Amino acid sequence: MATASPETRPAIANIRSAFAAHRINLVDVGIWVVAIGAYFVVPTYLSLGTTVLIMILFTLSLDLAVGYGGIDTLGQGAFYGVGGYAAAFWALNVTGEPISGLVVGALVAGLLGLVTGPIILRTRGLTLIMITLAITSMLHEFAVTAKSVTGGDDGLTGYHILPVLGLFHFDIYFRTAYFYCLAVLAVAFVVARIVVNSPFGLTVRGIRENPVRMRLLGVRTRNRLIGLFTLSGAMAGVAGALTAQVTGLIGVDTLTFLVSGNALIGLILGGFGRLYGAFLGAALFYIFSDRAAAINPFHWLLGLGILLILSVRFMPNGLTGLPEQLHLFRGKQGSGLDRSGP
Amino acid sequence: MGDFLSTWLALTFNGIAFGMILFLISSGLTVTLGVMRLVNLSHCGFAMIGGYIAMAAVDYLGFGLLASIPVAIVGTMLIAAVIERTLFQWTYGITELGQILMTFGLTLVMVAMCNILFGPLLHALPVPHWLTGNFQGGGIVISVYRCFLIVISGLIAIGIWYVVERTDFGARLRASVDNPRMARCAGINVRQIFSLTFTVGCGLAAVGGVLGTQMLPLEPYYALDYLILTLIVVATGGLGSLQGSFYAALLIGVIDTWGRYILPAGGGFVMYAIVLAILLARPQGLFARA
Amino acid sequence: MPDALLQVDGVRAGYGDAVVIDDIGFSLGEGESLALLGRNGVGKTTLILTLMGQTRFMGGTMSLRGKRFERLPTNARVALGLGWAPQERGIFTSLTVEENLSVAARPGPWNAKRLFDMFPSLAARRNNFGNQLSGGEQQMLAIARALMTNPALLLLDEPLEGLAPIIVEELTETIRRLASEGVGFILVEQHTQLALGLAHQAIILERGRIVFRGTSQALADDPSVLLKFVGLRGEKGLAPSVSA
Repeated sequence: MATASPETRPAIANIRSAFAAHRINLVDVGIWVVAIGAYFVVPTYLSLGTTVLIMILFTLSLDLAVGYGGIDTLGQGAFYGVGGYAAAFWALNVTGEPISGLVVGALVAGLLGLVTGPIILRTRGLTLIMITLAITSMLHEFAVTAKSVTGGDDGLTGYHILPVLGLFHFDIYFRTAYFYCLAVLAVAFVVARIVVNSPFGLTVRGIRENPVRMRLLGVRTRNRLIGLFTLSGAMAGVAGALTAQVTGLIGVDTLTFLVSGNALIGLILGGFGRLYGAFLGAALFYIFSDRAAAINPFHWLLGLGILLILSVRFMPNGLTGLPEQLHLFRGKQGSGLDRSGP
Repeated sequence: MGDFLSTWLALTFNGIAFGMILFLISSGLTVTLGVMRLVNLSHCGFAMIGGYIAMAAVDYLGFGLLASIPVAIVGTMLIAAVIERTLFQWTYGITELGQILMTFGLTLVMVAMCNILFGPLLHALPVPHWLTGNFQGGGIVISVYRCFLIVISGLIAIGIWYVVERTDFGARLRASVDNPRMARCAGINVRQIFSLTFTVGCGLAAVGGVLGTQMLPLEPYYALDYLILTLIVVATGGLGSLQGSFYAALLIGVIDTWGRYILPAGGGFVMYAIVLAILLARPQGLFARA
Repeated sequence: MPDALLQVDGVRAGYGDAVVIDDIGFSLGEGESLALLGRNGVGKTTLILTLMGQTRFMGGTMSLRGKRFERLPTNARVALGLGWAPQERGIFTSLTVEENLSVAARPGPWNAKRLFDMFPSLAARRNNFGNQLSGGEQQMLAIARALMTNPALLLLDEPLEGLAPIIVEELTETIRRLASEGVGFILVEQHTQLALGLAHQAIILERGRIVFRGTSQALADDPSVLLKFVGLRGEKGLAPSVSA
């Protein structure tokens, strides 16, 4: 399976093999058909659609960390919020050009990941979760307090985003926004795919499955995980930047663990460690939460709670893992929630 | 200068009272984590349930605060026992992440149920007449109720200490926390010990929930709001260490109270920063067991 | 004919999906002792753990004095009469020596007083915590704790590993005393000659299966079997002698 020095092979060949490694191509095509089709079929729901696309991107970033890296973080919201604030800042103080705003969001969030990664990844289990929570909470408190910088509880707003590539104006029907986010999501997805199927990605998966063994093989596990964590953070930052640009507002509610919690729920529904699980799970979750929460938030919470319990019990590999689960009692991919061993 | 000192003393005192409540609520969680290695995010929910049962006793049965405590304890323990026998069976043998998600789901159910039953408004339980007011002396003003809280919590803490350190049951509990596999192989029924400790832990959380409504008012999101605080106490103190929970709870109660005084807008920033520092220096907590 | 103390048939077990031991069958009579031999990693400890119920059980039957126990949870097996002194000793570090004994106490002739008489160095440290003991003392405590459960069958997993020669002698004497008092036990031990000197019967495992089942005497008479499966020529240690 592993070929000699794949780094020397040309990039195109790498991409091709990356796609070939993931056998279910029809599903991928299907996803994009649905996404593009939605634009035409439900033009009045594009605002919701844009939110869903951004959340898919966010959930995707979380899947990289949790599903592939085995880093159980509840602090993904920190990257999301930081990226959003950075992009808002950029638009307010430098230029409203959107693509540079995305880059800024990615860089700042990635920087946060690079700085906090070594700290966080020294720990595991509950301590790791607690540290990610503490960092997120700290950032949240900081954002609330530093009103002059972050707008406090009111958040940052009042910036104007220039047309994408100078051509596509953002309109109130979210038409431009929808395709803008779709394009960004597509790029991010391709990047994610390349990464997880690359030698780097395979090593990371090896680390998740058997960290001791990887260390004994001489793999610098910490560094790889920090790299993955940074990438995942940068991607979440892009999601935050998109939110800031598309809605014209960024607030402190982005810096909570509920944001990460929602994405985790999306992953439990869709399935961890299979990139398109993020698509299915996040789409389902956010569409439902939008509809149901509007009706009655507490009934929605009740339903969600029950759904979570049942999902973990009966569908630990999510919906995308269901076929495997039904055929084999123990799926080999079991990246999600099955524990085996003594 | 005397003014400054009295302010700080009052703050420390309030911080200790707050910390005591945190300890009551967290004590059950640290044992659950220690014995069964179960990450139970719903633990704070039991404190909430206890508070609400007491509120029901007060509102519908005309009980006073103190009389409502036993009602709350028994009611919460019953609910805890049922949940433990049913839902929690599903949490054994799955990964930490799975436990987190499942117990988080349970918490959401609790939140929703409390809203359906009791509505979304904030509630604080009425302080009995003879506990209202303040002690005043030497320029220091101390609330009678908080004094009472500290005394009661202190007694309970001593009771817990005695059971854990000086009884047979306590020895078997400590053995189960130390090394659950070996405990089973020494003939200890770890399962039963866990059930019992879990139920009692929820009862203790209920006491915390009932007594603490002045500082932690009841509302349906209680289970989520204070979850982070509870987790922080347990993680900082060291999983499975009751002693650790006690000191961590006091520390965090005091730090949080001082922190909010120094930086009122910053809220919990100071506390989170210090907790972060502690966890980085000693990831296993201050008093962790092996 | 009275039930054997331990009867094991067709046992298969391991971890997760991996089968580590297979087709294990043997029996042990009342008061008899068994040496469990084999190279590292053949499944000796797994067999012991399977008796205790700490592995994934995949088939077969196990009975103690006629009572089937392969479906019982671990602590019920201890109540039935299995006592275990693990390889890693597993002393409870948050408990004192005295508490380590008391938590395992079950009715029967073995009690704390008798064990303190048997292990005076433990008696001297009765109020010390588990992690304040030396290796040898921990080993004694592990064996004493197993005896506190008043077992019908004692499982000793490498009790002499890593101990100073003096302690090894002391413990060997203890085990010999146990044998003479009619306590049945299974002994896993790398000091092959020692093990054979202490136990009547012997079983050799190779790759999870039994490749030799017989008396220690037979192994002593024909060293080639040992050489083939365990890889030892002569060894310093006690000359083989079967205890009463």
